[in-house]
Amino acid sequence: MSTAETRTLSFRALIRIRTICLVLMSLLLLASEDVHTSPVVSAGWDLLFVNMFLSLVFGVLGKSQKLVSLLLPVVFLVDGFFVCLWIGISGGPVSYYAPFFLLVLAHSILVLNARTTMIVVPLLLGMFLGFFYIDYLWNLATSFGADQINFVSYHLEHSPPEIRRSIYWHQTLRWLFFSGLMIVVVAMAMKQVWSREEKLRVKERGLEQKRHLIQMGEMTGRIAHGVNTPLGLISGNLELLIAETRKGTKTYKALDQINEYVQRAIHTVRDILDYGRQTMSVIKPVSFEKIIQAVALAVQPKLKKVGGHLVLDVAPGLPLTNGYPEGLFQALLNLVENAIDSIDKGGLVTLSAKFQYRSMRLSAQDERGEIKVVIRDNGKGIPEDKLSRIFEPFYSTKDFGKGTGLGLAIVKRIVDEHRGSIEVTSQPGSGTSFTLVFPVEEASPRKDADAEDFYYNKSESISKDVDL
Amino acid sequence: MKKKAPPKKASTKMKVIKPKIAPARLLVVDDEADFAKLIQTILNQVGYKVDMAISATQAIALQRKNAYDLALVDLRMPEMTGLELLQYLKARDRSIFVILMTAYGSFSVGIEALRQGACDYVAKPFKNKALKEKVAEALQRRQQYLREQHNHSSVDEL
Repeated sequence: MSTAETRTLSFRALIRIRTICLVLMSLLLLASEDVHTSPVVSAGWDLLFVNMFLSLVFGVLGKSQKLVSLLLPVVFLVDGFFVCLWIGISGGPVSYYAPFFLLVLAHSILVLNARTTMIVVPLLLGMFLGFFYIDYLWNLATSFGADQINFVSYHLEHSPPEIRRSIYWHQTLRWLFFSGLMIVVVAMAMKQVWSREEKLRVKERGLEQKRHLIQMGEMTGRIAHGVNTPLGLISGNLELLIAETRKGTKTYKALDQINEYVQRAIHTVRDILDYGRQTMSVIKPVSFEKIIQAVALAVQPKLKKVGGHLVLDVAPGLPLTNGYPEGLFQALLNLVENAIDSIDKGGLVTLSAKFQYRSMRLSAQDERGEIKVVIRDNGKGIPEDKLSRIFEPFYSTKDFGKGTGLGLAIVKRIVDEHRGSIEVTSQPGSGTSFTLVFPVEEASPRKDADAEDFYYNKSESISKDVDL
Repeated sequence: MKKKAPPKKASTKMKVIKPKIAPARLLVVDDEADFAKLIQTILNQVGYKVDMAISATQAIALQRKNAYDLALVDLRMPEMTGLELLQYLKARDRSIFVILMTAYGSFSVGIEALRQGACDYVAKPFKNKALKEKVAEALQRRQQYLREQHNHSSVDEL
């Protein structure tokens, strides 16, 4: 942790010192008379260019810490190379060397502070390469009796052809290097711009989706009114008719069948509405204990019908979490109802909840934790090939007509809204278990007063829903 | 209605003997006339005296004429929402109990209904049996409420 901090600090220091060096350098270079002749000036310009390009790169990549750390060694390699080159080339006034000394100072500070191979090794490597290059140039120059390495145009006319050739070669290399650098920078900038556009597009798509959802919410309201009213009329009148018809007759059987299908339609519409409904609620402190109790109460009739048992195992003193009580109630209810559907007579469903600290704790004082809710049944289980798809909307493992395939999709959405996670394991024949984990920001000591009564703690938000 | 006139006498007789068993007076308000009619039929079977209104204004007019024990009000109506009508009915007669009916049944709608003073809510479509149970329960609660009120006022008088 501390090394990472040092590195970012050093990086910032480097950028600052580098900026000062560059300003000084550019001033000196502009002031120098023999801009095109002195090798010192020439190398100075090179360094300046390289640094400008690198600054541009950092400017573009500024926010991507990963790329910056990848590029850092390159910066130091280039720095080392030019620093060495500059040392090696003599023949300029001393003032030319001032920014170079500053640069060396900056790098020494960095090397001393950073203690990281990412900086030291490239810097040394760059200097090493620079040293060899300058050595080569010196050898070349002295072999023709030159007293300094001059490889700029001024000397071209007066140089022997061998020197001229080597100068051309040098210049070609230089421009190749710079054009390569240029291409890299432009490509990177374009990639960055492109990814920014991509991000924007993703954002826009998200917005579009939201708009779509809102429209869907309005639509579900219309469907609710337009479908539920006739369905209600049909089922109500049907029940009246059934009550008047003698049992066992043909008419009775037909009406009963109609009733069954009408009930199925009602169920489907209700599920679709539940799925399409926006969570237009306010986040509040939620007591899982109360929600679980409410769920246990709500499933009693169903439990009685199946002849199963529900065992609650709620750890005492669960901390409150922030969330939508209604949504959590719906999610747990769906899961428990599913579990009851899967068991046979005498089957067992357990609903347990406990608090646990997060697996990655920063310190003993780190109070952040999570609430783990497990719903386990000893029912028929889910085949492995179907397990991965159960959270998809409209996917159902129940017999045709029994389930709408929306129950678990609703659960998944609610869990996602709470930044929780849901996992399922199943053994066909021996049961299924759903594990839900909800993060708790601060494990505050439990206060009943904080969580209002579950049935009444959702008032401000409802007016939106009511109009539908 | 005219045919029912003779048995009315019997019921008045009953009233004389056991005035507490007087059938509860219910008001059904739904802009869907068929739906209101259906609920009327269902609840008539139980023995309540049920009037129906197909608009909020009609409901208010009916309340002026008769005293109702319980009103079943649709949440979504053209002139006035069920919640507004609820306030209106309650303002005229504090002892009236109201059950809200909604086609967009959700937990939150229910809570809002309860918060605004409704005694219960039913999500359309509902089972006839469930409706009957809810109505019976609401009337029972009203009786209890009236008894409490009575005790309260008699204590005050003392």
